[in-house]
Amino acid sequence: MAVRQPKRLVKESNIKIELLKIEDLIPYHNNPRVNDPAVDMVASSINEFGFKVPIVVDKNNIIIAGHTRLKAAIKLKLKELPCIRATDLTDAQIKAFRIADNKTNEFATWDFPLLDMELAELKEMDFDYDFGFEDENINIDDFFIDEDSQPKEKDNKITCPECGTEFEI
Amino acid sequence: MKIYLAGFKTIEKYWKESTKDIYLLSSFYEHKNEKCGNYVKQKNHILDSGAFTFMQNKNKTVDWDKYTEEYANFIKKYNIELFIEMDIDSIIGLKEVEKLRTKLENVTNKKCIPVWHKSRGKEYWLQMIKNYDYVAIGGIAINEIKQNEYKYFNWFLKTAKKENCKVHGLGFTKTKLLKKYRFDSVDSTTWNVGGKFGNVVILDRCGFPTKRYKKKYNRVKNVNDLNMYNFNQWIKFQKYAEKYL
Repeated sequence: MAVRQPKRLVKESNIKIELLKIEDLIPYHNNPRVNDPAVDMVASSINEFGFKVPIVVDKNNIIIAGHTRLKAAIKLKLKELPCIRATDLTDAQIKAFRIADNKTNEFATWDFPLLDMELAELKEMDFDYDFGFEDENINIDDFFIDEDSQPKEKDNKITCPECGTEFEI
Repeated sequence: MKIYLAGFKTIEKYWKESTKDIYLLSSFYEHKNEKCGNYVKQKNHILDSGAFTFMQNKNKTVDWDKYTEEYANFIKKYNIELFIEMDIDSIIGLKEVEKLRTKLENVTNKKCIPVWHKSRGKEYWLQMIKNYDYVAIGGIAINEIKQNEYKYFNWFLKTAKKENCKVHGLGFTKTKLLKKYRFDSVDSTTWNVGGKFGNVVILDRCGFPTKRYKKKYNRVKNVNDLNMYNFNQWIKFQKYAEKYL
Protein backbone atom coordinates (compact mmCIF):
# COMPACT_ATOMS: atom_id res chain seq x y z
CA MET A 1 0.00 0.00 0.00
CA ALA A 2 1.37 3.41 -0.95
CA VAL A 3 2.10 5.72 1.96
CA ARG A 4 0.42 9.11 1.63
CA GLN A 5 2.64 12.10 2.19
CA PRO A 6 1.27 14.72 4.57
CA LYS A 7 -0.17 17.65 2.57
CA ARG A 8 2.30 20.20 3.84
CA LEU A 9 5.29 18.00 3.03
CA VAL A 10 4.16 17.67 -0.58
CA LYS A 11 3.70 21.43 -0.75
CA GLU A 12 7.18 22.00 0.57
CA SER A 13 8.86 19.62 -1.82
CA ASN A 14 9.77 22.60 -3.94
CA ILE A 15 11.39 24.39 -1.06
CA LYS A 16 13.70 27.24 -2.08
CA ILE A 17 16.74 28.29 -0.15
CA GLU A 18 17.52 32.00 -0.48
CA LEU A 19 20.75 33.67 0.55
CA LEU A 20 19.86 36.71 2.66
CA LYS A 21 22.15 39.41 3.95
CA ILE A 22 22.63 39.09 7.66
CA GLU A 23 21.60 42.71 8.26
CA ASP A 24 18.29 42.05 6.51
CA LEU A 25 17.27 39.38 8.99
CA ILE A 26 15.04 40.58 11.82
CA PRO A 27 14.97 38.73 15.15
CA TYR A 28 11.42 38.27 16.45
CA HIS A 29 10.95 40.85 19.22
CA ASN A 30 9.13 38.40 21.52
CA ASN A 31 11.30 35.36 20.97
CA PRO A 32 10.59 33.34 24.13
CA ARG A 33 13.74 31.28 23.95
CA VAL A 34 16.80 32.13 26.07
CA ASN A 35 19.59 31.14 23.73
CA ASP A 36 22.71 33.06 24.75
CA PRO A 37 24.34 30.07 26.53
CA ALA A 38 24.07 28.08 23.28
CA VAL A 39 25.61 30.65 20.93
CA ASP A 40 29.25 29.59 21.37
CA MET A 41 28.46 25.92 20.77
CA VAL A 42 26.41 26.71 17.67
CA ALA A 43 29.17 29.00 16.38
CA SER A 44 31.68 26.24 16.89
CA SER A 45 29.43 23.80 15.02
CA ILE A 46 28.99 26.23 12.09
CA ASN A 47 32.71 26.80 12.07
CA GLU A 48 33.40 23.09 11.86
CA PHE A 49 30.58 21.85 9.65
CA GLY A 50 29.40 24.95 7.79
CA PHE A 51 25.99 26.63 7.89
CA LYS A 52 23.96 23.52 7.06
CA VAL A 53 20.60 24.32 8.64
CA PRO A 54 18.88 27.31 7.02
CA ILE A 55 17.10 29.97 9.02
CA VAL A 56 13.32 30.05 8.63
CA VAL A 57 11.85 33.52 8.06
CA ASP A 58 8.44 34.96 7.26
CA LYS A 59 7.58 37.18 4.32
CA ASN A 60 9.05 40.22 6.13
CA ASN A 61 12.37 38.51 6.98
CA ILE A 62 11.36 38.14 10.63
CA ILE A 63 12.94 35.00 12.05
CA ILE A 64 10.65 32.10 12.85
CA ALA A 65 13.35 29.54 13.65
CA GLY A 66 17.08 30.16 13.90
CA HIS A 67 17.67 32.98 16.38
CA THR A 68 20.67 31.19 17.90
CA ARG A 69 22.13 30.47 14.46
CA LEU A 70 21.81 34.16 13.62
CA LYS A 71 23.67 35.17 16.80
CA ALA A 72 26.35 32.58 16.07
CA ALA A 73 26.66 33.83 12.48
CA ILE A 74 27.10 37.40 13.71
CA LYS A 75 29.80 36.16 16.04
CA LEU A 76 31.52 34.45 13.12
CA LYS A 77 31.13 37.65 11.03
CA LEU A 78 29.24 35.85 8.25
CA LYS A 79 27.73 38.12 5.63
CA GLU A 80 24.90 36.04 4.15
CA LEU A 81 22.85 33.15 5.45
CA PRO A 82 20.78 30.45 3.77
CA CYS A 83 17.11 31.00 4.59
CA ILE A 84 13.79 29.34 3.90
CA ARG A 85 10.79 31.61 3.58
CA ALA A 86 7.71 30.06 5.17
CA THR A 87 5.15 31.79 3.00
CA ASP A 88 2.62 29.01 3.40
CA LEU A 89 2.07 29.56 7.13
CA THR A 90 -0.58 31.79 8.68
CA ASP A 91 0.38 34.31 11.37
CA ALA A 92 -0.91 31.93 14.04
CA GLN A 93 1.01 28.99 12.58
CA ILE A 94 4.18 31.09 12.52
CA LYS A 95 3.72 31.97 16.18
CA ALA A 96 3.07 28.32 17.06
CA PHE A 97 5.93 26.95 14.98
CA ARG A 98 8.33 29.33 16.69
CA ILE A 99 7.52 27.59 19.98
CA ALA A 100 7.02 24.06 18.65
CA ASP A 101 10.38 24.03 16.88
CA ASN A 102 12.12 24.56 20.22
CA LYS A 103 9.78 22.59 22.45
CA THR A 104 9.86 19.35 20.47
CA ASN A 105 13.63 19.04 20.99
CA GLU A 106 13.10 18.69 24.70
CA PHE A 107 11.41 15.33 24.37
CA ALA A 108 14.36 13.56 22.81
CA THR A 109 16.95 11.89 25.04
CA TRP A 110 20.24 10.09 24.52
CA ASP A 111 20.83 6.40 24.21
CA PHE A 112 24.09 6.50 26.16
CA PRO A 113 25.63 3.18 25.05
CA LEU A 114 25.08 4.11 21.39
CA LEU A 115 26.36 7.61 22.00
CA ASP A 116 29.48 6.22 23.65
CA MET A 117 30.06 3.98 20.64
CA GLU A 118 29.76 6.89 18.25
CA LEU A 119 32.09 9.05 20.33
CA ALA A 120 34.61 6.21 20.59
CA GLU A 121 34.54 5.75 16.82
CA LEU A 122 35.16 9.45 16.31
CA LYS A 123 38.12 9.20 18.63
CA GLU A 124 39.49 6.32 16.58
CA MET A 125 39.06 8.46 13.48
CA ASP A 126 41.12 11.16 15.22
CA PHE A 127 38.22 13.56 15.02
CA ASP A 128 38.56 15.92 17.94
CA TYR A 129 35.48 17.99 18.68
CA ASP A 130 33.94 19.39 21.85
CA PHE A 131 30.25 18.51 21.74
CA GLY A 132 29.68 20.07 25.13
CA PHE A 133 28.71 16.89 26.93
CA GLU A 134 29.25 17.64 30.58
CA ASP A 135 30.95 14.33 31.27
CA GLU A 136 32.91 14.09 28.03
CA ASN A 137 36.18 15.17 29.52
CA ILE A 138 35.77 14.13 33.11
CA ASN A 139 37.83 11.51 34.80
CA ILE A 140 35.56 9.56 37.11
CA ASP A 141 38.53 8.71 39.32
CA ASP A 142 38.73 12.38 40.30
CA PHE A 143 35.43 11.85 42.08
CA PHE A 144 36.82 9.18 44.35
CA ILE A 145 39.19 11.07 46.55
CA ASP A 146 39.80 9.27 49.82
CA GLU A 147 39.80 12.16 52.25
CA ASP A 148 36.52 13.44 50.89
CA SER A 149 34.82 10.13 50.66
CA GLN A 150 34.61 9.12 54.28
CA PRO A 151 31.32 9.71 56.10
CA LYS A 152 31.50 12.90 58.10
CA GLU A 153 31.20 12.52 61.83
CA LYS A 154 31.68 15.59 63.97
CA ASP A 155 32.06 14.76 67.67
CA ASN A 156 29.15 12.48 68.42
CA LYS A 157 26.87 13.98 65.80
CA ILE A 158 25.60 12.16 62.78
CA THR A 159 23.59 13.24 59.77
CA CYS A 160 20.74 11.30 58.17
CA PRO A 161 21.86 10.57 54.58
CA GLU A 162 18.33 10.99 53.27
CA CYS A 163 16.80 14.00 54.97
CA GLY A 164 19.91 15.73 56.29
CA THR A 165 18.74 15.91 59.89
CA GLU A 166 21.66 16.05 62.30
CA PHE A 167 21.40 14.43 65.70
CA GLU A 168 23.52 13.10 68.52
CA ILE A 169 24.41 9.49 69.10
CA MET B 1 11.42 8.73 35.24
CA LYS B 2 9.45 7.75 38.29
CA ILE B 3 9.10 10.36 41.01
CA TYR B 4 8.23 8.66 44.28
CA LEU B 5 6.47 10.97 46.70
CA ALA B 6 7.58 10.50 50.29
CA GLY B 7 5.72 11.68 53.37
CA PHE B 8 2.25 10.55 52.27
CA LYS B 9 1.54 9.46 55.84
CA THR B 10 0.91 13.09 56.80
CA ILE B 11 -2.16 13.30 54.59
CA GLU B 12 -3.10 9.63 54.48
CA LYS B 13 -6.21 10.00 56.61
CA TYR B 14 -7.55 12.85 54.49
CA TRP B 15 -6.85 11.16 51.16
CA LYS B 16 -10.06 9.57 49.90
CA GLU B 17 -8.99 8.58 46.42
CA SER B 18 -7.13 5.52 45.24
CA THR B 19 -3.36 5.59 45.44
CA LYS B 20 -2.80 2.78 42.99
CA ASP B 21 -1.47 5.06 40.26
CA ILE B 22 0.67 7.19 42.56
CA TYR B 23 4.33 6.41 43.14
CA LEU B 24 4.91 6.50 46.89
CA LEU B 25 7.88 6.01 49.14
CA SER B 26 7.20 5.36 52.78
CA SER B 27 9.22 4.40 55.76
CA PHE B 28 8.92 1.27 57.88
CA TYR B 29 9.40 3.43 60.93
CA GLU B 30 6.16 5.28 60.13
CA HIS B 31 4.24 2.02 60.02
CA LYS B 32 6.01 0.28 62.86
CA ASN B 33 3.62 1.10 65.63
CA GLU B 34 0.40 1.70 63.79
CA LYS B 35 -1.78 0.27 61.11
CA CYS B 36 -0.45 0.99 57.65
CA GLY B 37 -2.44 1.85 54.57
CA ASN B 38 -2.95 -0.58 51.72
CA TYR B 39 -0.66 1.48 49.55
CA VAL B 40 2.36 -0.30 51.03
CA LYS B 41 1.30 -3.36 49.06
CA GLN B 42 1.06 -1.60 45.73
CA LYS B 43 3.74 -2.21 43.13
CA ASN B 44 4.61 1.44 42.72
CA HIS B 45 5.68 1.81 46.31
CA ILE B 46 9.18 1.77 47.79
CA LEU B 47 9.73 1.09 51.47
CA ASP B 48 12.75 2.32 53.32
CA SER B 49 13.78 1.29 56.79
CA GLY B 50 13.43 4.66 58.50
CA ALA B 51 16.37 3.57 60.62
CA PHE B 52 17.71 7.08 61.04
CA THR B 53 14.41 8.47 62.25
CA PHE B 54 14.06 5.54 64.59
CA MET B 55 17.47 6.17 66.07
CA GLN B 56 16.82 9.87 66.40
CA ASN B 57 13.69 9.22 68.42
CA LYS B 58 15.02 6.31 70.40
CA ASN B 59 18.04 8.25 71.66
CA LYS B 60 19.88 5.19 72.91
CA THR B 61 21.71 2.14 71.62
CA VAL B 62 19.69 0.37 68.99
CA ASP B 63 19.54 -3.35 68.39
CA TRP B 64 19.91 -3.17 64.61
CA ASP B 65 19.57 -6.93 64.22
CA LYS B 66 16.18 -6.81 65.83
CA TYR B 67 15.15 -3.75 63.85
CA THR B 68 16.19 -5.44 60.61
CA GLU B 69 14.25 -8.55 61.51
CA GLU B 70 11.11 -6.52 62.16
CA TYR B 71 11.67 -4.62 58.93
CA ALA B 72 12.09 -7.87 57.01
CA ASN B 73 8.99 -9.40 58.58
CA PHE B 74 6.96 -6.34 57.62
CA ILE B 75 8.19 -6.67 54.03
CA LYS B 76 7.24 -10.33 54.05
CA LYS B 77 3.84 -9.73 55.62
CA TYR B 78 2.84 -7.14 53.02
CA ASN B 79 4.68 -8.81 50.16
CA ILE B 80 6.57 -5.61 49.37
CA GLU B 81 8.63 -5.79 46.19
CA LEU B 82 10.77 -2.69 46.41
CA PHE B 83 12.57 -1.97 49.64
CA ILE B 84 15.77 -0.19 50.54
CA GLU B 85 18.52 -1.73 52.58
CA MET B 86 19.37 -0.50 56.08
CA ASP B 87 21.00 2.71 54.95
CA ILE B 88 23.17 3.32 58.00
CA ASP B 89 26.76 3.13 56.75
CA SER B 90 27.68 6.21 58.74
CA ILE B 91 26.40 4.73 62.00
CA ILE B 92 27.58 1.14 61.99
CA GLY B 93 29.92 0.97 59.01
CA LEU B 94 29.63 -0.84 55.71
CA LYS B 95 30.59 -4.30 56.99
CA GLU B 96 27.72 -4.31 59.47
CA VAL B 97 25.35 -2.91 56.86
CA GLU B 98 26.31 -5.81 54.59
CA LYS B 99 25.48 -8.28 57.35
CA LEU B 100 22.09 -6.64 57.84
CA ARG B 101 21.54 -6.70 54.09
CA THR B 102 22.18 -10.42 54.00
CA LYS B 103 19.79 -10.92 56.87
CA LEU B 104 17.13 -8.75 55.22
CA GLU B 105 17.41 -10.64 51.95
CA ASN B 106 17.45 -14.05 53.63
CA VAL B 107 14.31 -13.39 55.65
CA THR B 108 12.41 -11.79 52.77
CA ASN B 109 13.87 -14.08 50.14
CA LYS B 110 14.06 -11.03 47.87
CA LYS B 111 16.75 -8.64 46.78
CA CYS B 112 16.72 -5.21 48.35
CA ILE B 113 17.75 -1.91 46.80
CA PRO B 114 21.27 -1.34 48.10
CA VAL B 115 22.33 2.25 48.67
CA TRP B 116 25.68 3.35 47.31
CA HIS B 117 27.53 6.06 49.19
CA LYS B 118 30.64 7.84 48.07
CA SER B 119 32.56 6.12 50.85
CA ARG B 120 31.82 2.76 49.22
CA GLY B 121 34.03 3.65 46.28
CA LYS B 122 34.09 2.94 42.56
CA GLU B 123 34.63 -0.82 42.57
CA TYR B 124 31.77 -1.29 44.99
CA TRP B 125 29.47 0.57 42.61
CA LEU B 126 30.56 -1.59 39.69
CA GLN B 127 29.86 -4.72 41.71
CA MET B 128 26.51 -3.42 42.94
CA ILE B 129 25.20 -2.76 39.45
CA LYS B 130 26.34 -6.20 38.35
CA ASN B 131 24.64 -7.95 41.24
CA TYR B 132 21.42 -5.95 41.49
CA ASP B 133 18.64 -4.88 39.12
CA TYR B 134 17.88 -1.76 41.12
CA VAL B 135 20.29 0.31 43.21
CA ALA B 136 20.17 3.71 44.87
CA ILE B 137 22.63 6.54 45.24
CA GLY B 138 22.48 8.06 48.72
CA GLY B 139 23.88 11.07 50.48
CA ILE B 140 22.70 13.57 47.88
CA ALA B 141 20.44 15.44 50.30
CA ILE B 142 23.28 16.01 52.76
CA ASN B 143 25.91 17.14 50.27
CA GLU B 144 27.92 13.97 50.63
CA ILE B 145 27.85 14.43 46.86
CA LYS B 146 28.17 18.15 46.28
CA GLN B 147 26.38 20.00 43.53
CA ASN B 148 29.62 20.59 41.62
CA GLU B 149 30.02 16.79 41.57
CA TYR B 150 26.64 16.12 39.98
CA LYS B 151 28.45 16.05 36.65
CA TYR B 152 29.65 12.58 37.64
CA PHE B 153 26.09 11.24 37.88
CA ASN B 154 25.97 10.43 34.20
CA TRP B 155 28.92 8.08 34.62
CA PHE B 156 26.93 6.20 37.26
CA LEU B 157 23.82 6.16 35.11
CA LYS B 158 25.69 5.00 32.04
CA THR B 159 27.56 2.22 33.78
CA ALA B 160 24.32 1.01 35.38
CA LYS B 161 22.45 1.10 32.10
CA LYS B 162 25.09 -1.09 30.52
CA GLU B 163 24.37 -3.66 33.22
CA ASN B 164 20.58 -3.25 32.86
CA CYS B 165 20.43 -1.93 36.37
CA LYS B 166 18.03 0.84 37.39
CA VAL B 167 19.22 3.72 39.55
CA HIS B 168 17.22 5.58 42.19
CA GLY B 169 18.45 9.02 43.29
CA LEU B 170 17.64 9.05 47.01
CA GLY B 171 16.36 12.46 48.03
CA PHE B 172 17.30 14.05 44.71
CA THR B 173 14.83 16.88 44.85
CA LYS B 174 16.31 19.35 42.41
CA THR B 175 13.60 18.94 39.85
CA LYS B 176 15.12 21.30 37.30
CA LEU B 177 18.15 19.02 37.09
CA LEU B 178 16.13 15.91 36.37
CA LYS B 179 16.32 16.62 32.66
CA LYS B 180 20.07 16.53 32.88
CA TYR B 181 20.44 13.50 35.09
CA ARG B 182 18.03 10.82 33.98
CA PHE B 183 17.73 8.62 37.02
CA ASP B 184 15.23 5.81 36.63
CA SER B 185 13.57 7.07 39.77
CA VAL B 186 13.97 9.64 42.51
CA ASP B 187 11.97 10.50 45.61
CA SER B 188 10.96 13.76 47.11
CA THR B 189 9.12 15.20 50.08
CA THR B 190 9.17 18.68 48.58
CA TRP B 191 5.40 18.66 47.99
CA ASN B 192 5.03 18.56 51.77
CA VAL B 193 7.40 21.38 52.57
CA GLY B 194 6.05 24.83 53.17
CA GLY B 195 2.34 24.06 53.29
CA LYS B 196 2.06 25.59 56.73
CA PHE B 197 3.68 28.76 55.41
CA GLY B 198 1.08 28.94 52.71
CA ASN B 199 3.31 27.91 49.83
CA VAL B 200 1.19 26.84 46.92
CA VAL B 201 2.75 24.52 44.37
CA ILE B 202 2.03 25.43 40.79
CA LEU B 203 3.33 23.77 37.67
CA ASP B 204 5.24 25.89 35.20
CA ARG B 205 4.63 25.73 31.46
CA CYS B 206 7.06 22.86 31.20
CA GLY B 207 5.18 20.80 33.78
CA PHE B 208 7.69 21.36 36.59
CA PRO B 209 6.57 22.26 40.11
CA THR B 210 7.40 25.67 41.39
CA LYS B 211 6.21 27.54 44.48
CA ARG B 212 3.95 30.51 44.73
CA TYR B 213 4.08 32.21 48.09
CA LYS B 214 1.02 33.50 49.85
CA LYS B 215 0.75 37.09 50.86
CA LYS B 216 2.56 37.95 54.06
CA TYR B 217 0.53 37.66 57.27
CA ASN B 218 -2.32 35.77 55.64
CA ARG B 219 -2.97 32.69 57.70
CA VAL B 220 -3.58 29.41 55.96
CA LYS B 221 -7.10 28.35 56.84
CA ASN B 222 -6.51 24.67 56.44
CA VAL B 223 -2.99 23.33 56.09
CA ASN B 224 -4.26 19.88 55.20
CA ASP B 225 -6.26 21.21 52.27
CA LEU B 226 -3.20 23.03 51.03
CA ASN B 227 -1.01 19.95 51.48
CA MET B 228 -3.55 17.89 49.56
CA TYR B 229 -3.58 20.47 46.79
CA ASN B 230 0.22 20.50 46.64
CA PHE B 231 0.29 16.71 46.66
CA ASN B 232 -2.08 16.67 43.69
CA GLN B 233 0.16 19.07 41.82
CA TRP B 234 3.09 16.73 42.37
CA ILE B 235 1.03 13.81 41.11
CA LYS B 236 0.63 15.76 37.87
CA PHE B 237 4.39 16.22 37.80
CA GLN B 238 4.81 12.49 38.42
CA LYS B 239 2.77 11.80 35.31
CA TYR B 240 4.74 14.35 33.31
CA ALA B 241 8.05 12.88 34.49
CA GLU B 242 6.99 9.35 33.73
CA LYS B 243 6.11 10.33 30.19
CA TYR B 244 8.82 12.80 29.31
CA LEU B 245 11.83 12.42 31.59
